[in-house]
Amino acid sequence: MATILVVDDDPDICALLEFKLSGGGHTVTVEHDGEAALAALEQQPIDLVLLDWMMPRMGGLEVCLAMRTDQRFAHIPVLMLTAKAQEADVQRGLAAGADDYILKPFSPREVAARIDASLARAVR
Amino acid sequence: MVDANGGLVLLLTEVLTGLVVLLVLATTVARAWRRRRERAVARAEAQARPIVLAALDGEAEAGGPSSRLQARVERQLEFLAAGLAGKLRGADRAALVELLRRRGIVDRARERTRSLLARRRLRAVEQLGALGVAEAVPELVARLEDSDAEVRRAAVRALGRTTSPAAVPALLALLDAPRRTESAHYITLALLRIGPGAAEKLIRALDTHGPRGRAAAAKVLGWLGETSAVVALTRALDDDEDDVRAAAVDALGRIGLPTAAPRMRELLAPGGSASVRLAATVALGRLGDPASTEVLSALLDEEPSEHRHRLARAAATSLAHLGGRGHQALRDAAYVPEAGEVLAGLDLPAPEPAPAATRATSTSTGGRR
Repeated sequence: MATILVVDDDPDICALLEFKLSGGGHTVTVEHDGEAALAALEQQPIDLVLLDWMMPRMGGLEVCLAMRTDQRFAHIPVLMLTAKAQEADVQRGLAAGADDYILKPFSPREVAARIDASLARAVR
Repeated sequence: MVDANGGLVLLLTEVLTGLVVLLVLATTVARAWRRRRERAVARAEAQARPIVLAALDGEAEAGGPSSRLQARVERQLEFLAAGLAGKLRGADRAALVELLRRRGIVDRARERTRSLLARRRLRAVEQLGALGVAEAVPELVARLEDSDAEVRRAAVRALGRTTSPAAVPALLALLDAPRRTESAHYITLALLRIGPGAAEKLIRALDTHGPRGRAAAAKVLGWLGETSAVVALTRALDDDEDDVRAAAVDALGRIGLPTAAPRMRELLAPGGSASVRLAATVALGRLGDPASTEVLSALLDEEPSEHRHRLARAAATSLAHLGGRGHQALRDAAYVPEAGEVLAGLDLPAPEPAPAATRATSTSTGGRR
């Protein structure tokens, strides 16, 4: 099973995802802003990042761009989980290097399934 | 005199010192009280969160669904589950709503819609909207006539979020209410949010409701792309009201059955209602029937009038949607400003040079102007 970094400034969403994903056998690390997420990446091996877009200090898009330009983290799958639903936003998210883009309100079961699919692709 | 002043200063100093001491005491007590309250809320949240999360996994609540919780824990459970339900969709959202239903929280919110306090009514209506519970439609419909404008607006939104067809007649009736203050646009959006389940009632409304309700029903049927409404919408093309006819034309264009095109072309006849002609012009572009090229081209050459520019602009845009024949018609009418603008935006490749014989003919007959 994988180590997943969940980054969202909403503590209720973090608690829900932590519960769901750890129930699926994953180890979950939670951070509430972009800067803390990058610090967490430096500190421990992470297999996948689930990233909100709009957060204090540093947004998800910047985190994604920073990861993609750093050799150490460029290979880690990133799933954006955001309320930014405009077509242009989805394009920006994917262009920044996100592997998948999930809109809020979201289905936690669907998020878990997409995470598993991303992890399986990453292994292949 | 000096003694009297000295006594007064002393008294003031004592009073001020007393006030400062009281202020410090009050601040300390308030802080301690707040900290105690925060700890109690955190404890309540710690008890409520596992119940909410367990509900997502379909686990039964310890002590059964009606087990009594401390009031504070119950409030936190309501706060957490209702807050999360608004952020989720699918089976997990349904599980949270079911948890709130089992604990009687939905029923309590329904009761609170009748509270004497507008603030409490508003919160209850918003909560029922966030949960999208269909059984609350009667209470939400009653709040469409609330004395508070904010509550009325929230009720419109909440009725849409229930996705219950039972909300359709009340929303349509609100559109036709003589002293309505809610925006027609928001009411129409609420109807759209109800989704395809609303279609049957919307189709019936085309024959039964007032003019604004009929127009909104037609509009929403078009947005939903409801093919089962084509017969009723075609009948609505003969409605007495221009707005209803224009909305029906718009809807038929969005639904996109090519069989609607001949009737749309008839509606373009000069002298008809400007709003209906404009809607038919746009609809013909959506239908994409090249047989509409000539009637649309004719609109580019209409005599100046109050609506000529909008009509010509719509005709040029629709011609752009007709493919090769429409593009050629735009090239032929490029001297008309509206056609020229649309043509420039299309960025089409230069036309093939005509064969010599055709060129000679076209030179001898001249252009359209």
